[in-house]
Amino acid sequence: MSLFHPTGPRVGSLLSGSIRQAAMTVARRDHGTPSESDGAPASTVVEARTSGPSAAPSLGPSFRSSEVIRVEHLAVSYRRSDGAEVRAVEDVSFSVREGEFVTLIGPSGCGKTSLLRVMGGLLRPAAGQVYVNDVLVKGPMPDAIAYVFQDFALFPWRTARANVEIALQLKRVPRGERRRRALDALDMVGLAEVADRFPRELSGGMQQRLAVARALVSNCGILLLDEPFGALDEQTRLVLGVQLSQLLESAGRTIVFVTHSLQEAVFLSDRILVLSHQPCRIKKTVEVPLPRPRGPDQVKSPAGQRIEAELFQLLYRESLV
Amino acid sequence: MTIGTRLMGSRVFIGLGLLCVCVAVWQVVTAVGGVNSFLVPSPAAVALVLVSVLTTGTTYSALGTTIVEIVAALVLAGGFALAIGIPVGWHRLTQHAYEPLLANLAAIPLVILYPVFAVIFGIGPLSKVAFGAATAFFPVVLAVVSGVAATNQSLIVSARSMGARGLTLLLITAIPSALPVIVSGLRLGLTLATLAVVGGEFIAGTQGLGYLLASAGEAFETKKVYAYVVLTLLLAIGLNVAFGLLVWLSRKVEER
Repeated sequence: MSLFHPTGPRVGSLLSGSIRQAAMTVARRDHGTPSESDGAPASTVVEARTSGPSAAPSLGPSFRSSEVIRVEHLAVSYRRSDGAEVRAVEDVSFSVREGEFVTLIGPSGCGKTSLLRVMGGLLRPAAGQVYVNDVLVKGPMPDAIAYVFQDFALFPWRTARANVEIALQLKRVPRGERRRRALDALDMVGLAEVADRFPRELSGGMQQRLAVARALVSNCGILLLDEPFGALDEQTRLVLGVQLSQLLESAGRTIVFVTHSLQEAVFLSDRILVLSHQPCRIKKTVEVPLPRPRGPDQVKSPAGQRIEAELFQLLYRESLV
Repeated sequence: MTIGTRLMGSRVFIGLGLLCVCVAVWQVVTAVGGVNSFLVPSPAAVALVLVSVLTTGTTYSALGTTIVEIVAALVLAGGFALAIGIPVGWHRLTQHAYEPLLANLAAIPLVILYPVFAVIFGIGPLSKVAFGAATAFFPVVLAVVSGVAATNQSLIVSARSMGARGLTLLLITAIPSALPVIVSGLRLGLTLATLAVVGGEFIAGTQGLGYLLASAGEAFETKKVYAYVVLTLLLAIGLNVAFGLLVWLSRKVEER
């Protein structure tokens, strides 16, 4: 399947739904029933922090089943080199529905990456908690969450194929199946021809697609993308943005995307969370009701322009503070 | 490819050319006179002695002993360096705590401790192996520490996100990342082990190339001394080539 292959809006979500269902079932089996993790642990961690209800606000029980990610009163701190503790993220709560594309946007250095890393279990929060498929996130969850990093994090001594295979190798997938699935994933992003090349022999855009292929190969229901186009030039960004949106729509994954490009955010998202400067809080949630599949003209449409202008206003005021 | 081969050819040619010029100058100087032929024999004379030395069995058993000692020393040094260097380089705290310590220890000329080695391990091959290992240990361990510590942090985070933990994380990120640095550290270690082993045999030994060298010197057989020096040189070159071949082979095997 080529990247440029036109696909209907969210058709793929029907196809891969069963896979995700399976992943959820496995996760539940490992960590007990969902009811266990629903309310009880929240109070124990949250009480150390500021006030606030222990359940995620404004979300009725009817939504529960389709909520794949639930972030509750999350706070992240880090220690500066002079020893001072800095709050990067403060009291952030939101949830992501199955198959939804949510973008985190905010001024640079506002803690977007920290927030995403906590969601992926790569960083410990100072307070609050994240649930993925109703399971409390305590560490990396390679069966449920795949990550694309800002600098792609490709292994320079491994070929493109071996870079994709590593995700499967760590799950002890047999060699033959590993190879086949890696080639399939490379084919999906249009890199089948360069499967035996090393990352340094690929262009920036190709490296980015390789990183996406590696995230797709493990069939995780959730993709966390940390400024995946950050290191690319403007033209490549635009082309890849179009390709990515088509690819991800067809794959039907739940996606949380970090960016500081307004255009990208409008073009890709179902919902945009505008974050404030340090400490990072959710300033506003902006829905993007543009129809899918989206092309570059959709972003240029009056509705798209309006949303972009609103985002700009929000962020402009934020950066003046 | 052809350009590479031609370049390689001219490289070898230039290198050997310089060697030939040096030997020629040496020959001319000794032929013209003015140098004591007892202290500096002509290369031709040395070559003749080298041939006669190479036809005696004792030379080969000495060569064999020395090679075994060097290889054993390097293997020991490498083992200890990996066992200590990997954990030290992996954690930032231990790296900052121990890397300067190791670097300073490496600056100690271990030869001043050679008598201690001789007392503990005797004057047989064992003391040479121990002395060679101790000498080769430092460059290798420093390479391992800096190689492991230089692992790209985002690769570690990425591997963690894909489920790698503990030893697997190390094997998938730090070890392959550090491998080129470790190999060059081992190469340096090989040179130092050769130096230490032959030197050890020379100072106090009962067998090996260094011992033959020392005995020839004590008997004032200067031509023989030079012949053994040339032989040591050839041994060092041979070991280096063998090391390179080993690295090349392991890479081939891994690629398959």
